Amino acid sequence: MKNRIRIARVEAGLTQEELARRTGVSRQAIHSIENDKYMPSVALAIRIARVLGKSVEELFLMAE
Amino acid sequence: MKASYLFPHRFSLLGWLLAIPAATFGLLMLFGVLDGDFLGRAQVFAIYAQRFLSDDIYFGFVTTDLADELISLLFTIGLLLIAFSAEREEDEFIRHLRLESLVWATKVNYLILIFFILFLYEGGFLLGLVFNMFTLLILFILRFRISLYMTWRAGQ
Repeated sequence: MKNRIRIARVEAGLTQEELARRTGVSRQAIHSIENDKYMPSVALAIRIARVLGKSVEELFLMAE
Repeated sequence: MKASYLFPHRFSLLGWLLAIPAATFGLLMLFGVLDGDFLGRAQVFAIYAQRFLSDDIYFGFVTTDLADELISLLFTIGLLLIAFSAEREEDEFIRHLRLESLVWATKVNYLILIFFILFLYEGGFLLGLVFNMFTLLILFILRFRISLYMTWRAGQ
């Protein structure tokens, strides 16, 4: 699964640190998610989507 | 979200304070620098004691040196506190790294045991088993710490 979190985060003008703080996780977690090293839980994915003003489907893409 | 099965973070320091001296004394005993009875001998209750050239004891008392038991206990408790104390900031990603590290450590630990079964015999096998008592926790701690560091460094 791929994600567009980095793009959406930059569009929203947030740093990884800020996104981490707003979603209640560590910056390392956000970094790993953006680099497809870690798949977030549903709850975290929803929190990230809300903070970035996107839907979960816009941020996470199933790899074909 | 707190992981209720972990010790509070402050217990990690206590773990190091127990484990490092215990490991030091243990290694000194292993290499013969310290005698096994440097803490003296005492009579202790044993559920089972297999004795050389004497009858085995069941639910009785034996006289033994205390050093190896004390060192093993302190080292084990220290490692448990280090391994299973929470990080300062816990999140699902840290829990994921912890689980991954635990699975890896368990696999490697049993590979080591298989190696010992195949290539160590008699007293050497017993010595290997003594090490194997601790290698699971040591491997887990190493793998978890390295994973945390690599993740931190990648994010810098």
